[in-house]
Amino acid sequence: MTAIREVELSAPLPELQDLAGYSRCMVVFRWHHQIVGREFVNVVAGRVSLPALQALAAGAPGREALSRWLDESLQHDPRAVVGPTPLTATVAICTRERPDDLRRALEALVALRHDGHELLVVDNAPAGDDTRRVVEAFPSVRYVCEPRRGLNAARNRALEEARGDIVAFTDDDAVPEPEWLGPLLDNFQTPRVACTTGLTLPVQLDTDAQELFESHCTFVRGFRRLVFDSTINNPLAVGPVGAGANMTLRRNVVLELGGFDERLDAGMPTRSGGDHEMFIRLLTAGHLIIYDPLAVSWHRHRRTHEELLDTVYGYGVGVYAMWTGLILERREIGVLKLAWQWFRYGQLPAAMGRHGGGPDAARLARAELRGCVRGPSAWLAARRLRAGGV
Amino acid sequence: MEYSAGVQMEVIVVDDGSTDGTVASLISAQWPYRLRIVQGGGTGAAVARNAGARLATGDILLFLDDDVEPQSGLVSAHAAAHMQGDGLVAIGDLPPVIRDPTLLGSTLRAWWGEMQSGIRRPGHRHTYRDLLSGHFSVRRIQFERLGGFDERLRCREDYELGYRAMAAGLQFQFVPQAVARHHDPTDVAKALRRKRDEGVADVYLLRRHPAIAPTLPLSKPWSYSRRERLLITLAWRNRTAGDAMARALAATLGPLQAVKLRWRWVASLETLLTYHYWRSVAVTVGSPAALQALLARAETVPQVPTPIDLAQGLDAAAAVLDSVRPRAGRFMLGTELVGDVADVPGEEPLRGVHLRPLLGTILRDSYLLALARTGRVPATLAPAAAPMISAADQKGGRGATAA
Repeated sequence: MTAIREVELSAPLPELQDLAGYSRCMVVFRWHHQIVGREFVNVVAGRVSLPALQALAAGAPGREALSRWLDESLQHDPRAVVGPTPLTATVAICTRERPDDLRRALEALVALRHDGHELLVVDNAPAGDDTRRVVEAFPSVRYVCEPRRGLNAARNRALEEARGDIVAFTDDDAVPEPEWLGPLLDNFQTPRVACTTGLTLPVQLDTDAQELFESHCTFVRGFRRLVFDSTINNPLAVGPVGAGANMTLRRNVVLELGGFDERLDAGMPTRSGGDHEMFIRLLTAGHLIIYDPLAVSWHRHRRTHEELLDTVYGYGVGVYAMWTGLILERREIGVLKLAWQWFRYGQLPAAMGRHGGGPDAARLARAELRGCVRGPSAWLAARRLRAGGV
Repeated sequence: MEYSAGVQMEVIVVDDGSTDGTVASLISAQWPYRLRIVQGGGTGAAVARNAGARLATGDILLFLDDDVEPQSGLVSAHAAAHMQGDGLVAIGDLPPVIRDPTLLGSTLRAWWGEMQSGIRRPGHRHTYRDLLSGHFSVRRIQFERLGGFDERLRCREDYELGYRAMAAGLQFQFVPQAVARHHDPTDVAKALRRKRDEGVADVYLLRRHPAIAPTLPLSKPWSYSRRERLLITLAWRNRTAGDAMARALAATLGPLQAVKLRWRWVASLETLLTYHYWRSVAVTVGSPAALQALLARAETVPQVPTPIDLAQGLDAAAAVLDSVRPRAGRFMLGTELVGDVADVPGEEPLRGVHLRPLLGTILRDSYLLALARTGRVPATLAPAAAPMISAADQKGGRGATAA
């Protein structure tokens, strides 16, 4: 079990105690409430000693805190523009049959600090009315039912229903911090920015499966703001950009591009990949994507090994399904090179257990590979399904 | 377009020799404002704009191109900007409208976005290139004092006017509330033609304003890729071979686009643009020696940077910048050198608003280091700053110099 503790760097460091029963601790470092880093450290005799914590704090988190302190004292903000225009926002959750998770997420959303945004839940192809009943308890949240099955169909419905210029997507198993929306919106003051992603941290690491997910499939993309630009980065390699659980889009740009590809992602044979396909389309069209770690959301990873293996298998299916579509429909042959590099330097050594993490990690890598093998036929199956009007 | 808000407005259309019935269609329509039409002889935008300006009766001249779509509030935003003073060049927003789904479309979106990103940042140091004739305004009296656009230019006439406006001490200001959407459907052939015109124009700019040299691509033939340098050599020595190579390169664009090899495509396009630019520079100037002679005229004594001590506090340092308006600054924190900000031809002198953005961007690392060395970082972060100091000491350099 891994404990999760937070430390504020503007105050003297404490010793972390009360960690009996944990083998490790994930320490989240903040500078004036902004998260500037996270480090893993072993728990010895139920505690993390002060020298151990000091050593961590003097490393990357401390350097990032210095950088934030400098910005603060200079009132310098890379997001700032002359004469910002007010932007309206819609926060959307696409959900399916997870009423308990959804309730937790909605509790976080109504606590968001930002004026004038609307809250929207898209209930995707529900079997019953559990989701609707959960939403009814939150009068400020609008409920929409999208009968066509598939996460990307639900996302498109959210874009269609949204009244905001910007649509911020969060998952039913994620809990955004109250300050989540503000920094995401600030980035959109630059006209070329069409999408932002944020920092997604695990809210608990209680089970082996959750620890394994965090060490091999983490959503964390670092603690520095990153700009993704197809004239600088390969627009097909969107792994570092982030994921749909913490993704905000400029509505009119996405609609102009035709919205999300409804053959991809959850609810379809392709299982995932809908967010990444959107990132690729935005980048190749010359738009910018910003990864902004000021926008923090806490994600509840799946608890069991079965769920984890299934999720990772689904990632494999989604990546290869998306790539199949890119090659067949958009002639993006650069995908072949990416696929080879990923296989040769990432997947193959991992599946053979050479990337560490023991047999569980290798098992995970093999599940992902099996998913990749399934990907192309999954894409063809999804295409048939959508062509048949599903 | 809004026509109220207490702004008196007249509209002058200068028709530069069009033959497609443009004028007839304008005359037959009803307009809610006074519209006058001037017939030009197809002699270029600079002549046409000057002709329009001569007819104007308003205090403020607002120039718009025919391919922009003014958004509501544009005129009153310009008028409001000029209320602040009479020495202002008000630069409006010119967001591109790009419908082209090909690689050229996304490349243009990136180019425009990059070009316009600087001016949106708070504390942007304006350059003469911020003036785009598609959408800006200036008081008529200032325009007349400057002598209007240089009519010998067929393109870059806006940059040239911007250069003189900057030299005359006019204050550039971005007006984000004034928005004109820019519809500019272009293709590769048009882009190459444009580059040839820019080559001619840059030589002219160099002749008229020798000091502008370092800001022109023709002053940096070494800054290109190997393939581009080869083509530049051919542009001087053997244009037959150069043209053949350019044609071969142009023929690769289609296939590269088909398989989405976008970086190779962009590199090929950039190489072609470079060749067309240099080809027309070479034809206009004649020989590399002649170009060298022109560039040599530009060499001036570098400005001695004005020392600015940040230890007095940033507000005080900003006030010094505002009163001295130095062209170059040497920023110190007590005895620690933070860095130099050089004089760039055609850029405005330093002002107080430039200080914090400079320290937050190009001087960032050296400023943070100087703060750490002088014990000015928060006590709880001092351990994180210590390795930074020792790494800098090991490198031997105390302080850095910014370009």
